[in-house]
Amino acid sequence: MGFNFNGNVPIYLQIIERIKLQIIRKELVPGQKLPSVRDLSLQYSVNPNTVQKALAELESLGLIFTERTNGKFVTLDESAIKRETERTIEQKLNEFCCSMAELGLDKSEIIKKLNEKE
Amino acid sequence: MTDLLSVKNVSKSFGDKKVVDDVSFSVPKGKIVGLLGKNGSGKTTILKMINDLLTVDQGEILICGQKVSTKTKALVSFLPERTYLNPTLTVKQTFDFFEDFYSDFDREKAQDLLNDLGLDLNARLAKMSKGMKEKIQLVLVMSRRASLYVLDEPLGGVDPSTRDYIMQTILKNFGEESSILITTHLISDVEKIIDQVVFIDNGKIILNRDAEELREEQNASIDEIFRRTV
Amino acid sequence: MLKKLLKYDFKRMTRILVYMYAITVVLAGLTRLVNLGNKIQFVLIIGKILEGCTFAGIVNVLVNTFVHILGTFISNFFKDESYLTHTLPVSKTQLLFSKLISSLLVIIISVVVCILSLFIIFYSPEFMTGLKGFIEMTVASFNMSAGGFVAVLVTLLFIQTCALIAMAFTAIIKANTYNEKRILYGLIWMFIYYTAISVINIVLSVIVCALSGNLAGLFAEQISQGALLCTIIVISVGYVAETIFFCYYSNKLFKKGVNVD
Repeated sequence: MGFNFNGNVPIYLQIIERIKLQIIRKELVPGQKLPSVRDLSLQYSVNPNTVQKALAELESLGLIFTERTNGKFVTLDESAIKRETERTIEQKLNEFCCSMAELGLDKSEIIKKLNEKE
Repeated sequence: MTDLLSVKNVSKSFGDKKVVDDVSFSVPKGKIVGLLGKNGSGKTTILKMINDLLTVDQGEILICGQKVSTKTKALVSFLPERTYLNPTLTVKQTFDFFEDFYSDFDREKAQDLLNDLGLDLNARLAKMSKGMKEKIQLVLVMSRRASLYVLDEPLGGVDPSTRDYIMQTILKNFGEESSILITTHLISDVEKIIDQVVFIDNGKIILNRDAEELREEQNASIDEIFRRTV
Repeated sequence: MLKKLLKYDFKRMTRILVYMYAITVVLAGLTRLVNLGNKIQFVLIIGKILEGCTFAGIVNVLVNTFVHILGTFISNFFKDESYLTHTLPVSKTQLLFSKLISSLLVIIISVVVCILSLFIIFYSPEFMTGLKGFIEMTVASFNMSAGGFVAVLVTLLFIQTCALIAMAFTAIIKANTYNEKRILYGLIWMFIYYTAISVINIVLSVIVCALSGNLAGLFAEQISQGALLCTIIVISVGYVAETIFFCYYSNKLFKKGVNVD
């Protein structure tokens, strides 16, 4: 069904991640209408209540907004998207650095390795 | 939140053997609840009591606040593990049958689901494989606009592509006003669609939790948690 | 709802029987046609063979009537299909009555088909006079007309059939309250019930005859008119009462809930 979930992590968190990624990569552009809860639930083969929970969370992050009766849309606030993009990059970098640090690499060594890499 | 189904301190014995032992749980409106347990843990016995196929020894079962009766049968759409259709009928005749007896049967919906299966309306059930008959049953059961859907092992013994069809069919037809109680021992397959999990072992409820909370708390899939606990 | 149930039950029971009816009637018709032909030996032999086939067809119809009635009852209420039957939003009483009424209807149709087939083969003015004469001779001493006798006989058979169907269904329902050996228990209960109703009917007949001073007539070489009248009334009332009892009892058993495997 297009999307494999990791069973160990709450599904709504994974849906949040997925939609966030789509927004960051501009697969979902500002102002674009999101599929309905029902459609998303079918697309991901998950419980509609879970989709609902994920969308509510995304809304509180300011990444999507609800227009009554019309559905949910990607935020028009570009700065919110930018902020979220930065935060995600920061988070992923941290994860990366942490795992490198575990291997005993310091910052300069990491940069060196990165440069060597094609 | 209203409970569409509440099972209160229910017990059932066959001879000396207590198959269901003081079981209580409820299914709130708009939720999909998974009743998960190994074969022979008492899941099917509970479903049969909900559907008046077995008498309750002790305790009480309420459906939309009413005791199990002819009236509640109109509210519940039950998919048993058995193939319960009269084999001499054609698919069309089974639709007629459901239309005759259930006022909430949505024929158009049934027709749509049947088209997805690529089946002929005039095909006779006797000439179909067991798997096909089970799919027809699922179509019939999910085409009712019932309050409570009770599905017994809907994924048992089917191939992966059929599993997807079944899951999609269930999700497609599940509305906010209804609830689903689903039993299975193939937990990983239903993980994504259940809100609440009820673990049952040897006729006793050993865990009753929100699925996402449980995953978050234990950092593990329901399947894993089930294997650890049961 | 009862009407809808009846429709499905009746269709289910007669689905195959219809073909058997048709075959039997067609065989009877062929027998008749062949018998109209030349009286040469070859034609006579064919006629006899066809006649035999018709009789086989009649027996087949009667046997299959019972097989289909009981088969439908058991598979609908106690086998896989029971998962649907008992989850329909229909009361147990209606489920049961639908089976009783449709079974009775099917039996009547089968009997009519059998009689019709016999008439197709044998009907002629002389045959009818002969039949009438035979009946009149039998009932002569009872001061009864042939028509009256046939009416009484048909009525008695009808209520007896009702009682027997209700009895058989009750025995099956009773047997299914056990957790195992249900076929055996079914047969045992059928035997018990049948013996019970027979004994009750006989004992009641004797008592009523005794009370009305017809006891001697009952055991006379040729049953007396008074004794016969008493017996007919007692048996009729008995069968009606037994039918009501079995309907009530099976309904009560059924309402307690079924225990499907």
